[in-house]
Amino acid sequence: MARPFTAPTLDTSKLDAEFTRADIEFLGIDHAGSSYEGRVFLNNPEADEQTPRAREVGYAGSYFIFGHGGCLGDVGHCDVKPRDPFDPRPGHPLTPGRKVLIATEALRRILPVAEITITVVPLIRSVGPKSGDDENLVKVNAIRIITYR
Amino acid sequence: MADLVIRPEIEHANVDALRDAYGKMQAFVANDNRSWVYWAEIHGFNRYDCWHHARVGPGRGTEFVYDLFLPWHRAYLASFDHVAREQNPGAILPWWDWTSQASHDHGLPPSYTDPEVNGQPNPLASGPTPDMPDDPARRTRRFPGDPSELPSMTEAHPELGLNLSVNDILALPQFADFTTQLQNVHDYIHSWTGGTDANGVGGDMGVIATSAFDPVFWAHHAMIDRLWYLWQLKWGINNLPPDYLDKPLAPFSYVVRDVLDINGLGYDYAVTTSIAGASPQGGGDG
Repeated sequence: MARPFTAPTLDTSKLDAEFTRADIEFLGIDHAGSSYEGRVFLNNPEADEQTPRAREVGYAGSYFIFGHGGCLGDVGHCDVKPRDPFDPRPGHPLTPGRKVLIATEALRRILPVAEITITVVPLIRSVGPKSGDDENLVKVNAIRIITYR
Repeated sequence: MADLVIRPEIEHANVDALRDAYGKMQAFVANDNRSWVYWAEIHGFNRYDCWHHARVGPGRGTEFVYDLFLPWHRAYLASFDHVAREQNPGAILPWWDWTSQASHDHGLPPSYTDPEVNGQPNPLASGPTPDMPDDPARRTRRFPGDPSELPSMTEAHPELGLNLSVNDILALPQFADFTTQLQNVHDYIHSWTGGTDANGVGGDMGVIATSAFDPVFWAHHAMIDRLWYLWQLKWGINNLPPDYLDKPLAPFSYVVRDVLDINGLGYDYAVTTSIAGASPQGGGDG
């Protein structure tokens, strides 16, 4: 079973609360393993697979990852290494990605507020021949909230 | 100049021609460059040339985000479609509209689910896979979800995790925004189609490594390509960050600017049209 992931608390005290749209952006997200739904909860670090997808419990929406399906190559095949500027090959297919959850209504419910804790509850949807570390499925380098007027 | 090929909605596809062409491709030895396995491997195991998920990394300034998901798959489908039509000229790639009433009633199209045709495996229901580590060559498999859980054109379904309807996505004016949100629904459909069985075995459409071996992959991606086309009609054919235009779409001999105009690639999409005709000269049927 994949474990929920809770990011460090975001300081949202300076967010413009007069917005027409609000996004939760996941930068550097890993997509090497199984395909999953990432259910995103606001200020509910106890959320788990049983927590309903309901606004009342902080549910903001989901993102979906079409996973690589694990490493079917030899040792090191799926290690992402930066390309030399003169390397003509495209970037490594497992270069971390970006997901944007448009969560205007969910954020409107709780902003303005001093801080927000974002928890992602992963539910595995499809596995590959060698999906690997499904327990720690959610790996992300940065999360930010962006509001737009 | 040759006529444009009109890609049909899957209910109107030439199923016999598709089965004939795909069956021939599936029968070719894997290292024949017309074979099913050859074309599927470009996307997944063992070549992985495909583009998914905006790639984020260091570059000019502090970071870059590139997303060639839509142009790369357009080049891929256009190339595959030529190979299929070489086997049978009627085998024009159809699109599977997973928002349609038929899909919400039945799920996958019946032409793609009948396991056998005339006592033989249906080439639209499954395709061959190559030997993979711990997974010998076999036919593809699917464990699709409930048809009622397919996305809607007009309504968001937050209870399914889908905050936007397809029309909401088509209304996003910026390419980067559009492709990110469309890709999310694309990812959802892959998982819905592939799924996982009670023993934890995954369906092939569900992961990048094996998805293109499943014949319905191509119809799903034709739907995605068509939605991009509809978005282009609304927001502009060339509406794309300028620094994308000369990005190569390896291994195909296209750069991004080459695939923006689908008519320039030799195809168009059929529209669903309903006509009630009458002749003022009395020649009609009413």
